[in-house]
Amino acid sequence: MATILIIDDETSVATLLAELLDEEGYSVVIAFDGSDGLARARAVRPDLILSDVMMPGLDGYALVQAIAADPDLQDTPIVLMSAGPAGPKAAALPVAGFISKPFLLDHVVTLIQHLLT
Amino acid sequence: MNHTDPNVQILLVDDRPENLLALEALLKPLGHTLVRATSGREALKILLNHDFAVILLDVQMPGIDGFETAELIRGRERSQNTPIVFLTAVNTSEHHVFRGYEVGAVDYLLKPIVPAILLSKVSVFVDLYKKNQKVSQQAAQLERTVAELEREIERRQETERALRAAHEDLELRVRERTADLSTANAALRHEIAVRQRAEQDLAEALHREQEARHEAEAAVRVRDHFLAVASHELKTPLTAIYGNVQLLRRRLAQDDRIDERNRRSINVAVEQTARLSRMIEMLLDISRIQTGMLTISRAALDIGTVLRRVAHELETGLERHRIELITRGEPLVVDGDELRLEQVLHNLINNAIKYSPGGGTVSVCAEHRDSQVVVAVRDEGIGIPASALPFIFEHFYRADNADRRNIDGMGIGLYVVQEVVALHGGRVEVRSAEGAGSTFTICLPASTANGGP
Repeated sequence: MATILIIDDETSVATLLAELLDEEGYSVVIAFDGSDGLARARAVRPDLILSDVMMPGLDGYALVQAIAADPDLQDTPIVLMSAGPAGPKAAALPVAGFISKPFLLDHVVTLIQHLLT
Repeated sequence: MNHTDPNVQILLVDDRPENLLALEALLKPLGHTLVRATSGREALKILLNHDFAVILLDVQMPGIDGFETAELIRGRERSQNTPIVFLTAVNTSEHHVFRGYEVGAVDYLLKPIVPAILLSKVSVFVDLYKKNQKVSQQAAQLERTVAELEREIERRQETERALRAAHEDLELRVRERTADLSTANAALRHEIAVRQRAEQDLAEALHREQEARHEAEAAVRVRDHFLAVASHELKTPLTAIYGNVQLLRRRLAQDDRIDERNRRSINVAVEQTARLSRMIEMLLDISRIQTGMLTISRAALDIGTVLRRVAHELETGLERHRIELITRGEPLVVDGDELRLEQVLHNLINNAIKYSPGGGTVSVCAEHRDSQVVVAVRDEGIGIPASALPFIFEHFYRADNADRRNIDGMGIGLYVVQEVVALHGGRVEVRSAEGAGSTFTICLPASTANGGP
């Protein structure tokens, strides 16, 4: 059973995704900000990280760089989510996928399935 | 002194012609004009019209005697100063002589006449006469000179008056000219003041215009910031709502016992939330375009593939419309932003359906033309009034025939289409007539890279 780390400062969105992925059969861990997310990632070693971009403190972009710099985590696929556009900044990052908010649940599920096979 | 002068006349008065002859003979050498009178009466008559240097007057004459004649001569203005020399006999008494002096005689000559004495005395009087004449000539000359001088003075005064008049005229003209000049100056100053005021007004108008523009620009910045923040803040709760209604539908789909009405309700909630989501996305796009924040990524992509995906998505649920996709099967590769171009094609085909409320065929023709990929979307709908055509790519613009038919829309779709196509280096064209449908054509530069996507 694959473990997915969900990081979003918006609790309603984090909870939604947790319920969806739980019902899809994944093991889910939730963090509500970037720093907490990085700490959970180091502790849990998830198979995939699903993180919001705009968060107070450590944001999604900084998180991506921190994960890439960590030898234990650098191979973990990361999917970023944002209410803003997927601009050139996101395109230049070593991420596995990008999801615009609001999103189709089918799209999220399909993407994750694809990345974990 | 004995020079002759016929202009000098001497009057000889004696009643005896022999005496007159003797006198004439004696006086002739002097060369003067000798006038004779044989009576006092005749002498007086002659004296009316002539002047004489001297009168030789015999005392004893019949009728008016010498004394009476002398008195009458003296009584006349013309002759009152003419010297009279009486001719009288030697036996004349003292009394006689005195009487002669009383009536105006200046001298006596005693008969018989001594020629030397006669000539001497006459010469003296002639000289005197001449000198008098000369003096009076000189006086007359003097008078003439004086008169001339006076005339000259008069002339000069006249000239001076004329000069003064001319000067005054000149001064008057100078004053008039000065007045004219000062009037002109005043007019000029007025003109300058008017122009300065006009310039001031212009500067103030410019200043007001700048202020108005700054205010307008500030208002635009506030609006754009509001749009960005509001859209973003709206999307967070929308993400939760949209996600949860989808989650609910997923759960219900696995439950066979669920009522059909609940299924329909949840479908409506999902669809309308999706619609709301698209609208917010459009508002955000407007904000991005107007703040210059709309950027596109570039990757080779096949327009045919995107078109098939969009057509498939929009076809679902259509009843009265048909989407006809016409391609030659060739790859239509452009370098662009796939999501944005999908949005463009979605907007155009969706508009074609939306503005054909009566149904019909929407034909989408895609092909290579020269170095471009051209996509034409043609509908059989209500068309666009000619008066609206210049404005349809403006944001929030809606043609009034769309409003009359209650066709939904915010007037954003074509604005975004135009901007996105322009960012790709392409252009949008439209041909339409009210009631005769519309054809929107986008032209994008074909990819120069080899091979497909």
